[in-house]
Amino acid sequence: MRNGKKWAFACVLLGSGCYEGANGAMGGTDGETDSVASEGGSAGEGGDETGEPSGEEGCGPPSAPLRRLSRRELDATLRDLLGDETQPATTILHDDRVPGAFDTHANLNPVNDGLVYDYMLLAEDVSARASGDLTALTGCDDPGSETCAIDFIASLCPRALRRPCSADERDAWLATWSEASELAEPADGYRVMLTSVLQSADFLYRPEIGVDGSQYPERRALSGYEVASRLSYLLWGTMPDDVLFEAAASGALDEADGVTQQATRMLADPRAVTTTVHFHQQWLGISAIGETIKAQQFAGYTDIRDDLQIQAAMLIEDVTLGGGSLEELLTASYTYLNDPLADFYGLPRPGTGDAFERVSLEEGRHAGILTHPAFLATYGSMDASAPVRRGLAVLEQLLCSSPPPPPPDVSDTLPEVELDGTTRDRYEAHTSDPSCAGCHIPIDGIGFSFEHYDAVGRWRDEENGHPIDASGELSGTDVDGTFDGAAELGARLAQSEQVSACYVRNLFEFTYGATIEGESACVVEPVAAAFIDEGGNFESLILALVASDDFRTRGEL
Amino acid sequence: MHIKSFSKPLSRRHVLRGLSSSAIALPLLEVMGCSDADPREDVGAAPRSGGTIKRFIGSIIPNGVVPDAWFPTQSGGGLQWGSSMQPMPEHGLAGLSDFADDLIVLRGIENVVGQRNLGAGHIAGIQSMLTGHELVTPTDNTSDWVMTGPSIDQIIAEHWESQLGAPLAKRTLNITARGNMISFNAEGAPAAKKKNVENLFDEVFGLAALPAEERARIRAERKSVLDGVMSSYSALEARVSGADKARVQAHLDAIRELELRIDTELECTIPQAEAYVQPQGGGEWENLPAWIDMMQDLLVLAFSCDVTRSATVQLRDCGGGQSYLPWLGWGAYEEDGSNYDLHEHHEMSHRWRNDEDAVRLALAAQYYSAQNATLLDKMRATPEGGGTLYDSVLLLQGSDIAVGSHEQVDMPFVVVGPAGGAVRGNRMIELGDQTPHNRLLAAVLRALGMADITHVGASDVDYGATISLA
Repeated sequence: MRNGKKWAFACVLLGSGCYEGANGAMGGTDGETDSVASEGGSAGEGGDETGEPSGEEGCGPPSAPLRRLSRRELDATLRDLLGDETQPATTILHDDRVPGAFDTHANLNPVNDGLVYDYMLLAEDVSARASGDLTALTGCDDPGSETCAIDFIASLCPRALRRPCSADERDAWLATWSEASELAEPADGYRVMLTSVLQSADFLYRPEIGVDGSQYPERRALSGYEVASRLSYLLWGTMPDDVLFEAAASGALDEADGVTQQATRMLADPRAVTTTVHFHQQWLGISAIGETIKAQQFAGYTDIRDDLQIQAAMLIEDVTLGGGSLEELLTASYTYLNDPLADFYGLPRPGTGDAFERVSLEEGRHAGILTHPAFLATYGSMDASAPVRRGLAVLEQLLCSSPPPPPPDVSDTLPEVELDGTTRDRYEAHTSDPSCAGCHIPIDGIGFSFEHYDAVGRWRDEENGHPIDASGELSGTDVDGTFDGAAELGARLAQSEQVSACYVRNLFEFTYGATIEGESACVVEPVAAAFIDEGGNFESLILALVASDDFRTRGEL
Repeated sequence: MHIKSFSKPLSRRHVLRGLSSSAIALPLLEVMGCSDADPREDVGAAPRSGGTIKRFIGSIIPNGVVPDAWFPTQSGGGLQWGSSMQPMPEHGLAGLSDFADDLIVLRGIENVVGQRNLGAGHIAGIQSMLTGHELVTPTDNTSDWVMTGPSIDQIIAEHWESQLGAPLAKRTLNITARGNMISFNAEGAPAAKKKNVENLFDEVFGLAALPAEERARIRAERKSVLDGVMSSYSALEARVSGADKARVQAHLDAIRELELRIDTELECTIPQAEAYVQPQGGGEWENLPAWIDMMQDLLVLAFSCDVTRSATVQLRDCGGGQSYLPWLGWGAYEEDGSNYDLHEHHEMSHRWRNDEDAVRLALAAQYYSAQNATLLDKMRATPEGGGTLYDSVLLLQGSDIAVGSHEQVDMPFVVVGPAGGAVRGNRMIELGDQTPHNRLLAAVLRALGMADITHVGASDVDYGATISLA
């Protein structure tokens, strides 16, 4: 059996001290640095590297902080709750992503009076729209009647708060309705009540309080409704549907079988695509490609950059929800192409206009997601290839290894730039200077393998008349060695247990809204090991994740 | 393909307009003033009474300066610059020369706290510039680092509110094109940023543009709704623990803060929204000059209407990124085959020992300083009392790093603006090496009327001799 566990730890430690005096930016402490490359624990031995309790019993559940709905989740929730398809959260709220973290992370941009003001605007906007047609909203012939309001509240409250509502809660909503209705028209009653609901804590946040009397030591079992929300926000990025609510009410979600059954159903639903694609795009850091800008010699780039996003999304969907594996994502010999992309990248047109067609990739030039222009252009600079950015992206996102920033006293005296040289020549100064080499050998060794692709990911055989040298080297990983070009890099990474464990860790972070590092990394181990054993299948991974006791429990309050 | 959901959302202004026209019957024209006039003229009014108002602007210019093209050649009075750099036409502070009488250049300042922890360099430099506090790693590992105390723009705002005994409509305005981590509240959490021209306009002046009756109705409704909303957060707070409790508490505090300011009336003529449209299209830096122009106008109007008395301005990111300055004649659009990020601001900063890069870096610093000069010019063109808004202001300009090597010694701080007579300019104050910038922050607060302040930020830096700006 292959061992996924040790790399869960390796993820945390690698690179934290690649120069003397560097504290780990991502955890880890001095003196632990070398343990990565040398030894890891063996299978089944438990996570004793940190000196913490080992195995499934002493480990976890993952910290699951109180999460606020992201803009994406809020828009989808408003769509499903009120039929509002205008994406008001994306319009009104500022971008809430924390750089480098998933948009599900509990530490979205901090709440301040500016954000709270925006929530107020959002609630006013949505409520004004929703109360524009009271018959459609309430389903009543006489929406001004108290009976109608009572029925509406009884139906809306548990869906808005994603759990059963108490009589006190319903009474409070009715009082708001009643007070505002008396002041003005019936529409105002519903509008003001909704304005209040949409700013309330249990709507904007996902509380996971759990229930008393847990069968698990030192944990609280989540309520069925809390599990339902975990499932729906993980798999669909929105509130639970009626079937999930019923499963919660019946107690089915208190057991692994019931959760698995629902997750299986949900994975087969088209709504699973959006979240799956979001996870992978955010993991790879390519979700912001629509905002990238290139220099003028790449004229036409702004017209095709959204297509790059779609191209990557189609491959991701195809592989992950089509029974494929992480290995396939990193090595796939095909992609999707439309005519504008083919023109921009100098490839044969599929002849389908804007529609995408599955095409085979030219062997040796392209293979897998890392050779897709969405990745290459995101991490390319404005007018050049940017080996450091590309190398860092692979290290951080795929290998879970974050070298620290350059030391404050780093020498900035680089050799004279030769304009007619190659990018590689210029960057090799990093690795020839001993004070830079510790961190830059692992970074640049990966980054150089992308040198066949320019700033936008176009293939090139030479740069300024010099042939491209795309030889690369992985170091400090479980797949160390030299190779040539990014296709070979992808093939090598596809065999890495470290990459598999890192990928699973990323999914945990996306799921639980928290950074998983240090001692808490052990919760990833059993799932990562199973993932590796299963050959890297995404759907199996999701099912293993949600079937775990961790998914239905939380730490004590 | 069902994934393609990239349709451009409605603008936020559209949302606000929608709200105005459907939910609120709104005779906007009645309050719009003369439609023939330039909509950006003839607005603003005298602020409320209550002593001499002083105003603060904190401004960060990214990525450091070139010392030879920045610091005057002699200390003491009468600012003079050499011309050691060629082909540097003028020194980096040339743009501010119009304000030389109220300009103090400081030499020998060090950002001591900025060098303490990981994140040293840009991040720590930015975040500590106005706080004087250091970054620390949070104990619960919720992020890589957190700021540990408030920035002086917030301290100044609190000072004024306590003097007034009433809240201002906005505690501070923190204007940023990109980035902005220079303003922090008392808990060290980043303050709200203003990035969008229209949003800033609507948030500051939107309600004030409505008829008084309508305004009162909306305020009453909002307060009533927020009261109910707050009770939901109190209830949740009681059910959670630890860091979650703090999250809910922060939300609750922010609602309280919002509610506190909802009633604040502006007593000035409200400018017309139509003049303030977020520039669209192309790369954001292409539109930066237009954006700066409008944001500066709005900031001056906000000062003039006494919306706030304290602001921060950040025009670009510090550190690595796609920071180009094509309007300076070099940058992203050169087609001479040049490669290698030659014109990226942070890249040229790192290469500042290379002559050509040094000149560009110096010109970049000159450009950013000149933007502050333009802002001050606009204040000088706005009458207030017997003088102008400019008479009241103190602008503190600093950077995240000193020079391209990313050191934080001999930081390029300047103070400009009379601050109601509290600043005696046209001089360079040469301090002993390693003077912590905390001392300068304290001097700024004293000049702005907080006479007893001696310490700002970390308590364990050397507070030795005080700096006097008078």
